Amino acid sequence: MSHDDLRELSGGYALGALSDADRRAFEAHLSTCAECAGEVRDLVAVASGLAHAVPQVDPPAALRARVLSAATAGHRPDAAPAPPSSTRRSGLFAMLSAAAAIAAIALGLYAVSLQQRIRVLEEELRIASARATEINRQLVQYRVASDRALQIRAILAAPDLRRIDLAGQKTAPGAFGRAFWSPTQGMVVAFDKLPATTTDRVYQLWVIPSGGNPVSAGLLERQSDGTAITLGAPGASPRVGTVAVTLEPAGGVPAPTGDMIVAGTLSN
Amino acid sequence: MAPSANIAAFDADRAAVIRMARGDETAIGELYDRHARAVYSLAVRMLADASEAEDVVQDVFTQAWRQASRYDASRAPVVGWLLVMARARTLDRLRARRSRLAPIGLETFPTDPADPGPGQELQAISHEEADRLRRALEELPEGQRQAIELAYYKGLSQSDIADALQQPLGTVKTRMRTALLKLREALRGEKP
Repeated sequence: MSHDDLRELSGGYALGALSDADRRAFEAHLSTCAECAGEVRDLVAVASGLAHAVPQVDPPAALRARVLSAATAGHRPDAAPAPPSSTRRSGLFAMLSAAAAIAAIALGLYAVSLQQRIRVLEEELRIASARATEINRQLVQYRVASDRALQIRAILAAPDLRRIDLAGQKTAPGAFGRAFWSPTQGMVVAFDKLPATTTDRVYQLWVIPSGGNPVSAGLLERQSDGTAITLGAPGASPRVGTVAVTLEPAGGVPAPTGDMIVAGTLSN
Repeated sequence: MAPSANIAAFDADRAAVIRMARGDETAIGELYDRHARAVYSLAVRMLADASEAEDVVQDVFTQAWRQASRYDASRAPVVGWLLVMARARTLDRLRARRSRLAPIGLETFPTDPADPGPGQELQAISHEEADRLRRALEELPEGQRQAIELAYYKGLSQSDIADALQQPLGTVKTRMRTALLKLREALRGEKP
């Protein structure tokens, strides 16, 4: 690895997050490079400060008595050892380098937990081929949901995000929707108070570029509580002028024919 | 980061550990009153579970009681010694959580690397420095902040973080370094 490549490892080293191979390569490098050794000293100091940089919360008052009696119960402190001992976790580097590859983490990001779930399911599939059919079905469901969640996240985080409110029209005055549109990432639309439909009808989402013809952006799946969330089909939304939903025959149609349910126009 | 914290407090802590090593139960009470909050707060942040965090507090003070005679004041302030234990015990629990949730046949755990070199124990850090660091962390761009938090508070490796966030490994490596360098500047920036 070049010096630039090695230097990039300093952050991971300070946080104990390097792979074994990277760690060995970096440590070998440290013994010969004063610049990197100096940087590592600084970054380890910063990293150790992270233990203090957490929101401070008081433990419950009742914990004190429990901890103190449990800690001292029946044990005398160990006698002082003669030479300085080196327990496995006595060094900051040891503590920081104890990398634990953990699959299940709570990040609050729905998409991340689904990615983990996907890896777990892929392993189960390899091991137990007899269960392949059911697992495959779940895998597809999770993949779809995960892709959706990642896509929605990309849209909502886009710097070119615009919002279009969709108002209920004559046939469904109580319904409404909100479209989040990024010309670069796509569109996600959320709806509420959609009237129930018969099984031979479906809500279809349209994007109408200013001065152009309506382009279908997909079909809605109305939930039992009247809500729906849909990702606009890619390619449907490069030039949004108006966004609308109509009620169409099941399966959708190439051009709108039915009643308009909600609509809104991008204001400039 | 030069130690700018209270010398008298350091002396009191060191004296308490010495007394604790002789079996003085009031000494461990003093250390609890001064430092349980810091230990609990770190465990809560890492585990997102108050009840498990309480168990970590018990683990840490139990370990501190037993190993008081091994505490070396020249290597770390007492709170640093306790927080090193807190993070280690918490990472153990995060690992155990994963093994409970993992179905059979998943990839084997990486073995813990051996102690890689001269230790650099937690240095003294004042409340002001800790606040400054916390603010600087919150102000990092999301990709950099996530990389640091997943590594430090969840013990993930760079390749796991790259998988989890769906980013190239090189991006994660660079972001970790850039973020720590930024935090270093934030800590230095307001010094005379």
